[in-house]
Amino acid sequence: MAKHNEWGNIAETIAAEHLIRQGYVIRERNWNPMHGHVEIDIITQRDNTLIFVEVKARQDSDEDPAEAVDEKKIRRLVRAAESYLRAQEYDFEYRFDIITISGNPDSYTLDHIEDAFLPPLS
Amino acid sequence: MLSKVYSASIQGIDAFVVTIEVVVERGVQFTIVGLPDAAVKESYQRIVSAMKQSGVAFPHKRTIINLSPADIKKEGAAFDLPMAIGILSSNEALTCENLNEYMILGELSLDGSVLPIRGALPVAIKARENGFKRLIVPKGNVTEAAVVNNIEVFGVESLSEVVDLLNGKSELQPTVINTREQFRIQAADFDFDFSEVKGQDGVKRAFEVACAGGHNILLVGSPGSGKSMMAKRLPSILPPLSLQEALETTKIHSVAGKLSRGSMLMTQRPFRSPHHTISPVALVGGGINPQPGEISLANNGILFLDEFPEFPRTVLEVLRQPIEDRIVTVSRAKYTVDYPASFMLVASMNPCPCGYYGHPSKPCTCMPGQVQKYINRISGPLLDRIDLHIEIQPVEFDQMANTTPSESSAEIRKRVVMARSIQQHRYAGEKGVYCNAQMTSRMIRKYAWPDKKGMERLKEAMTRLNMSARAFDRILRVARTIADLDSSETIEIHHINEAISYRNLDRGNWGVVGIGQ
Repeated sequence: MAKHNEWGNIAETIAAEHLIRQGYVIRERNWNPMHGHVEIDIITQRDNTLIFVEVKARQDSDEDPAEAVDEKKIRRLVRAAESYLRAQEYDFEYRFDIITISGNPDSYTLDHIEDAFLPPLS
Repeated sequence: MLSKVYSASIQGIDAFVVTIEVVVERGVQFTIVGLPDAAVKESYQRIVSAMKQSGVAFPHKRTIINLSPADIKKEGAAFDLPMAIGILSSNEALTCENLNEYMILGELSLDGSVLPIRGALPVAIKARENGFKRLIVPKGNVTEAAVVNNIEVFGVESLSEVVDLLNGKSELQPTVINTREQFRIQAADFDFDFSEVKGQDGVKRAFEVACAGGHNILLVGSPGSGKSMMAKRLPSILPPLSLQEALETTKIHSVAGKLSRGSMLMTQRPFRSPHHTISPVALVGGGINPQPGEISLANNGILFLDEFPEFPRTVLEVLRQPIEDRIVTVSRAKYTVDYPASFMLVASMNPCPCGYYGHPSKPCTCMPGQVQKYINRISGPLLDRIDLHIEIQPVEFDQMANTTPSESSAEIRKRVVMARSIQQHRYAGEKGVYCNAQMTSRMIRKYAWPDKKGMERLKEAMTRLNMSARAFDRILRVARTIADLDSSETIEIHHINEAISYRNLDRGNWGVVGIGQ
């Protein structure tokens, strides 16, 4: 496995641990709907809100990882979230968060952007 | 849950009711359907931010908004507020049970404040017509909307204020305006008065005639002779606006967004003087989202075109049809809108390119033929629609230094009003005709036919001055007005004489022998 993918997986675990420490309940990790081209890194819950978290990891800390979430990515995430929400029994509210982690496994900085974006007008 | 909020949009100068249906349900997406334009679509961002800033929760759920009727294009930002209210109501954040008694309009700013909109007056009229009990509009439009009575009009400044109002937690009272009282107070208040104009008695008389009969008028004079200065004073001698006319004029200005904050009914006749670089669309109205043009803004008032020959031919020619019909129809594939355009045209021009042709002291430096060419820039058919052509000479020093005030506008206005009331009486049975200028050829034969002596005088003058045939009807129309000012039932020879003197440009020898010769 390529080095950056390893770092990506480690970063997702770091993010999940961070969320648990914050009191979130992890519902899914790497959730992949049947025909989707997109994977939701982490789906967590707090009260009646489902939070869809996109984790972005970068080794080079100069670049802002949050910028890697572009409009196309947002549309895909929204579509995936839509199908997940609809499959629930309960009327949850949604939220999209981005967690960026830059650095390396030994030394990194974590940034949690809550309610990072809203679904685009469709 | 489904909620419905009522709002309105403008087509032409009238409003139509728009029902905003909002469903908030399980899911993620945010959708607006029902032919929204770009400004309506952008409201999403404004609503989200305004709600956040106002401390009310934006529901993070699937939200569908439908604007009905779904086949008419909805434009502008006035739906921000009703859409926000619909979302809150659908999300059960509002306890208001009688939302269907309200009509709501307003543009939201990112900080949650409510910004003024266009067309609040026609909206208020429509709301009352459709039996709405309450109208919520931005504070900046409240005086304009409150002109309409029998409906409670609330002026609001922020989204949270509206939420409080609808939840019954607000002390906000409806704005009440005594329209008639306001109208009476403001109607007699003019910035300019004819008493400030020295000399120029002949021109003043021509203005009086023009206003009395609703005639279009063309002023020809050298620079500095006072053309614009006198034209500005015309509204002060026109008959006062009736409440109905004031309402119509205010409506047009409201739709065009030309009313200043806090203004109510327009109590004075509009005076519009567009620059000669104006485009045809800006003049007559139109555009992708049709808007009234200058001639509609001048409805029931005066359209003053300074430096008349400098206007491009294409611009002037579009005026021909509205001058006749007093209405402009803007056609689009899916709909047409009508804008009233009942204005009095006042045009002014220099007699020649250098400006001094016929000036008492300065010589004209134009080449032979240039004078004629300058006049010819205005097409015959257009000139044909202008009843009075008069020349203005600069005032001489003795008159300028004279300190005794001239006759005031109020005095002149009295005579104008009197002449107009004679005409109103006369044309009571004729549909769509209110003043002498609107007489058709048939009506001229009926109402403005001179006696035998008068007809002979007219024939003689027309032959001697080499006048064109089109001058004939014009002279009789103007003669009718002059007779009305004289309270004379019949048209006398001196009325004809005066009317002939207002046809300078029709003389075949204009540009050959000069003005006043």
